[in-house]
Amino acid sequence: MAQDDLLLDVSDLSVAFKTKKGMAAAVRGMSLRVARGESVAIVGESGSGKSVSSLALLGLLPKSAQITGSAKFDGEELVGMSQNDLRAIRGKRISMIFQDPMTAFNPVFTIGDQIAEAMEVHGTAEGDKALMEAANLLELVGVPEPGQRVNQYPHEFSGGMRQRAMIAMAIANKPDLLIADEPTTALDVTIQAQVMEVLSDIRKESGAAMILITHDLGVVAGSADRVQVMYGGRVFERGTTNDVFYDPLNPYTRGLLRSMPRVDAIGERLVPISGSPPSILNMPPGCAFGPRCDFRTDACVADAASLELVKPGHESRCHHTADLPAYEAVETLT
Amino acid sequence: MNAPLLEVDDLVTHFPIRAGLFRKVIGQVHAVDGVSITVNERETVGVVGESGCGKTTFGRSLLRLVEPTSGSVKFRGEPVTGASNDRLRELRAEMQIVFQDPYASLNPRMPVNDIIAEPLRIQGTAKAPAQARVSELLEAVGLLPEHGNRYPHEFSGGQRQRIGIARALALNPSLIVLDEPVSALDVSVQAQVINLLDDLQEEFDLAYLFIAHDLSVVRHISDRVAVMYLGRVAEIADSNSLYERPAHPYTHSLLSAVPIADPIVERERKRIVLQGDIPSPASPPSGCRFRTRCPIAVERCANEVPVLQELAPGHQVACHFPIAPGESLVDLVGSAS
Repeated sequence: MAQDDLLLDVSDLSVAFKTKKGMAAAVRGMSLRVARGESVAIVGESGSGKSVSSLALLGLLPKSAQITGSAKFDGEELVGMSQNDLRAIRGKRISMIFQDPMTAFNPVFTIGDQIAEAMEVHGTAEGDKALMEAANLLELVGVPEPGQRVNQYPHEFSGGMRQRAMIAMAIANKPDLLIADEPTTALDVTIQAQVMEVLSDIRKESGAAMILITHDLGVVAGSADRVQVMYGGRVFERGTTNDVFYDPLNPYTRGLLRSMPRVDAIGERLVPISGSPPSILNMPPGCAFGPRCDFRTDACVADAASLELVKPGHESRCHHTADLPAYEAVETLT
Repeated sequence: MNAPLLEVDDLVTHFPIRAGLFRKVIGQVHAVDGVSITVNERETVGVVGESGCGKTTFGRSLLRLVEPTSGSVKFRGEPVTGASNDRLRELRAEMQIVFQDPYASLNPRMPVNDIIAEPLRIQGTAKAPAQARVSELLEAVGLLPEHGNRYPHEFSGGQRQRIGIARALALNPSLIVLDEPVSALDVSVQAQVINLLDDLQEEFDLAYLFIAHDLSVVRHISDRVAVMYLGRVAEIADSNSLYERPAHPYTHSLLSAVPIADPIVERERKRIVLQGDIPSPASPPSGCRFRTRCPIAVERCANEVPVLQELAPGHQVACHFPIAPGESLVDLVGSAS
């Protein structure tokens, strides 16, 4: 990507928490580049650091978090930025869509007031005009009868409607970057389809870039330009969505893809990954995936491989990239 | 064919809505509203549906963990509904349940040995044979017997679900109701538990009633599948017919909404995006319950309740206008995206 297209450039980002049981390294040297208008998915299981890394960017972690490394947003360094300066960026140029729309809204203010507040704080609109704009935004994300809905409280909204309202709030100030953290995980499939459609339409219109954080590879397949797979706080594989799904290089990515039953495939026996994801308090030495990997050798225990460019635009972190067998996808009906 | 293991006929479970000083009943939540299903020996029947469709209440009503309002449940021909408490306890040895949340369903103050031995204790097994059985069960679900004196918090989510399964197996049941047994687990761990369930079914001749919202998992594990919507069965068929030749518009929409982990397939798919939300089960729509969201609903759907009709042997659908095999709802109404 051209340098001036680069919107977000995260390099060597690490986040550790001080706990009673010692230091917990949640993110370990993560990098991420997002171009303007691009959609990048971060995929990982619990404890992979996928959510913590984006919270760190926005300064939303508690004080016990120790953040090092660099995250440049449009040339400005976010790591170490004062809360005051961050506040000017948060909700204005970068906004976040959270998983649980119930806890993300304040129950004692109307939805309209909360969307209007997001605009007032950043001086985009004031008073009645902000409230009118809030109704327009609700209409844009497909909330029926926005004129009345704008005066309702969060508990009067269903889960899917609340998630739409949160998207409306997130786009109120026309941000350059949306961070969606498991935006549909709490929703039913038919509602998930609605919300993903709204997100895609909104992005088409506004040209905002998106970081989509999720564990659902199906959601990624339909909506991301590029994917980065995280495990144990590190990026394990990164590439275009097609490359990662059709030619996964990393044993972990392959394991993930193979272990998922597909709705368009017949019931062959699944190929699970053995064991469970590591605890961030107790990371295995060397490669974090080592204890669960079929290809583990002494080299993997001795030290973690680095993320290397294997093919143009396609990186993987594995000592055995060169000697892995060719990837065989699950057979499907179509 | 032999008589079915479980026979559910017109099961209804309503919950009263109470309000006011005297807790007066002001309405009913129609959680399960006339569901009939059979489960044969060694068979897996999947029950899918979105939140609020009554699938969990249905599972619990079968074991009378929630008391059904009307209808009958027969296990090996014997009525479960109406059985005395003593007889019910005996019947429950044959019908067990595994819950969704492996964190909430295990007592945090009990070591795993005691958790798994509890059903044995309740049924009056002596301590020594019970302990031997616990070790056997731990091994059967892929845990180490020596870890039996640990507490639930020392295990990962996947391991806890294995403990829940071991507890359900303790009394040698013939039927296990699995209520979203893998949805709380990480993707990489889900497959382990699904394979374990497959193996145990083979080994112990189990029948499963597999309740889940994930259509991919249900397809993988089930012989037959029932799709529920607002307390009723919309469609029921063997797994392949249901997924390859769905007839109910709701089944079509559900299948078209499931994301597939294949970028090209996913980008090129035509998709029905259902409008609106599931109506409240406290005041379900008249006639066909799906009509408020159905893209092909007409007036008749509001006036007349569709009954389950047989389209092909074993394939039943509750719709006035079932979609023919090979036809797609997307083509009928035009694609939404």
